[in-house]
Amino acid sequence: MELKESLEKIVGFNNVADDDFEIEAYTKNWGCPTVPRRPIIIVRPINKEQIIEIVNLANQKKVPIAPFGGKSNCIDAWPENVIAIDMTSMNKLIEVNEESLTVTAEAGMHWGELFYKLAKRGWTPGFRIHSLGTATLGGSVALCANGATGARYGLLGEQIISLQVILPNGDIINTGSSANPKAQKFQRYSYVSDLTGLFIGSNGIFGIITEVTLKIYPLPETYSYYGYQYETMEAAARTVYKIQKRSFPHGGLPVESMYLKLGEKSLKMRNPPIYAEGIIFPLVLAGRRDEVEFYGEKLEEICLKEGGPIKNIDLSIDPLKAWPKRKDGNYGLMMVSFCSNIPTLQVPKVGREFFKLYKEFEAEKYKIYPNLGFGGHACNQCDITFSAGLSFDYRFTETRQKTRELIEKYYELGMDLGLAPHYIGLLRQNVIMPKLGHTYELLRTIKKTLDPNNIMVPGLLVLPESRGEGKDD
Amino acid sequence: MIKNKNLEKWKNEFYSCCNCGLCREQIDYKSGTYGICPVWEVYGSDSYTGRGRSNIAQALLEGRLEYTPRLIEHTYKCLLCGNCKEHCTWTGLYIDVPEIVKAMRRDIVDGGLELESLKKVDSNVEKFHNVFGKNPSEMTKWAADLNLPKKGNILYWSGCYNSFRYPKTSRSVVAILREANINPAYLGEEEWCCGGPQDANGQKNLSEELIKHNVKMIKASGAKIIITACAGCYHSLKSDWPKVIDGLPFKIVHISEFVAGLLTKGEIRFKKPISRKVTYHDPCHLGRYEGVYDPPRDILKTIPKLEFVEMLRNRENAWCCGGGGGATAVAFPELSNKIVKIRIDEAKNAKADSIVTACPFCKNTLTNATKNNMEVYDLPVLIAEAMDLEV
Repeated sequence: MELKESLEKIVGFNNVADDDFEIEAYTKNWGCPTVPRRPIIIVRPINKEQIIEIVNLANQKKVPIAPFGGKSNCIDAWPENVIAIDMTSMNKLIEVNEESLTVTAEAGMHWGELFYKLAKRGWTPGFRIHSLGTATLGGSVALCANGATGARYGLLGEQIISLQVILPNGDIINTGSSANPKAQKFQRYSYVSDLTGLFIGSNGIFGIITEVTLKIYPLPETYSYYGYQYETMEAAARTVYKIQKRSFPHGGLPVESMYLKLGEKSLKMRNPPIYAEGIIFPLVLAGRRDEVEFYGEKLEEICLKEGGPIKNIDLSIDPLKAWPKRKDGNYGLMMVSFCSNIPTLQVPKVGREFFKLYKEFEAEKYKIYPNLGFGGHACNQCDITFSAGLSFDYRFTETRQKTRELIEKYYELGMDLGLAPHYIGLLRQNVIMPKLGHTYELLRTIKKTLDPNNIMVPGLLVLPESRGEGKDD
Repeated sequence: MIKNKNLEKWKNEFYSCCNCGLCREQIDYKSGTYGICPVWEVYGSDSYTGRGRSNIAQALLEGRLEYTPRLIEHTYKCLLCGNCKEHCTWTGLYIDVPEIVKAMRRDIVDGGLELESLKKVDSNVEKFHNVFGKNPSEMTKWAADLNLPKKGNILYWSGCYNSFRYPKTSRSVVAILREANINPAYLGEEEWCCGGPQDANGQKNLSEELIKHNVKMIKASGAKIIITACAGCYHSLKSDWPKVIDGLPFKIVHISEFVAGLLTKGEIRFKKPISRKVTYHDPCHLGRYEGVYDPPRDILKTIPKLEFVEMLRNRENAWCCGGGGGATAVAFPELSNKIVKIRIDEAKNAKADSIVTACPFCKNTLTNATKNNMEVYDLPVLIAEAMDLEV
């Protein structure tokens, strides 16, 4: 039986697409400077039983598969020549457990929908992914996303209690306490090694995540927004560090979000809702009204020791609504980000090194701009998820090539400076993976053991099979 | 082979798509999930979203893709509702997906491969100058006893739908205007289709021919203000016509804007209470395309005893009725029915007993879907009722 016919038998005629134009629609990820990567066929399963059948079929026919959610990742975590499994139809809320303070949902659910459904019951997942509007739970677990509330909740992995995963051989497992079918999903570290962690940031190479169980928290009564400006990068970083230290262990202070935006005075930063030059530092507090007020005053004292308030800025604007209205001529500008963690106090040095590299590369000559500035969100281990995002004009082949070249140089520099990326993807893996030594060898061994047919997202993370598959221009 | 001559002109737009996916489904975490692309909501394929269409457009231009019968059908399975453009916020570019789709349709038409179902509509317009393919003399029946002048400062533009299918809407407009001591002029048989549906279908030449004729006739009438109750005509006259003819010597006003002005000035008033709980459906052509959101709401809130409620998705976020300016309802009625049902459910969830809209295309789609379980009003009809006018 032909592949298409077999898949139609599993998911139904309307949930399989292989027209050339349908394929073309699925060839890209958010803002990546690559040429399109074409899947062979697209399927939309509606339950895990269908996924198991797809996995079994893939093994039988030796055709690779790759699941996807919102396709809003910015690291090109998207191989070609695969059966692309669209997970967005699997988007049910399964359980809000107020006893164990967890929520379980199908992997195709959008984050925003989860926020909304939890908020109606007085809860929040806390962790707030940047692509709140489009990313799905499963996709962001597979890429261990970061988020705006990292100062309190860390990277996504820290919020995960349990995963349900379909392995490359078609077996289905529940990680954490619920490995015992009689136990609830309430504890991640149970029975054996932390198997949940195996799948977080795995780029999907070890299995297809079908359900995600996350911690939940009472919805904050109030939010409070502050913004500060500093003369030097060091002063800003020291201030963030002082707050992080006082918040440690995380949750000690109601600091939800801190964003350290570093840039030379000559750089204009475009990322709303922030329009300012220099070194700026917005701070968001969330929690009970009395504690937010109390700590707001205390934190302000710390922040004003070395800096001053940002004037004329509304930090409470919803970033989704804050983008400027269209400016004609501003065409083709896409953004590719470089998100990697580094201890906060090292950020000024790192920021300068990246800025130096950017200047030396003469990137502006190729229409590549550092519109996101050099900075990032505070995380909860006295570290910062550092970003040196670039915007580039996708219309020009040379610009795309040069962007990739610069990004590779960024990754080389990042590894030399000791930055730790929390996700990899095709854009980074060739630079990063070979530097991981025995860790990488272990990863390969696990992959070979779990997926002897190499059907699950082949080419990602595990080299060298991937090299040469992406035909970038 | 279809050439991409028209598509080429829009390449800056579709090469600017960063594939963020905000054109597919966006989340307002305070009020819930907002579907953005109604066609995606029905079929579930990314190819229908703005980013999918941008990727397809790039592939066509780069020669990786050629039109097939299925791609042609796919190109017409877009409502042109503009919701993707409205929510294209990531790059700040508000990429004009409807114009990209229209350019693709123009290329298809230039290649002689327009959809059969729409060809029929366009051939009707070519022969009879209205989308229903009826004798032009039938078009003016609604005004037969009204003795409307051919010339005047203010002209009422009825449009195909309100002339043939909803004459009560046009008669209501005239009654309202007369209550304000305005006797509008009317072009009668010389009022040809506005050209909007043809422009949307890719029939640019036919559209331009209609526009040129209409402008000539309006100029001859001496009108300086054109009032219409059709959101589709309003958008066409206001935004499409100036692209064909520079410096139109008249102003276009939607009836909702005009009545809201009359109410503010105290030149008309409501006499009869309407004890209904109504919600307002924003027509895409009036709302997202032309930014007219408040006047219809202001009017409804002024009607005595009328309780006004909003649907979850309203104003810029309004869900299209599924009519797609008439084209989708004609070419893909099944798709249209699925989309309008979502909208009806939203009205029910708002606990409304009636839906008011300001566009005959929307009224048509909504009425067919409610199957008389819910009253669907075109705004002028409700206004006339509240003013206690004989229509």
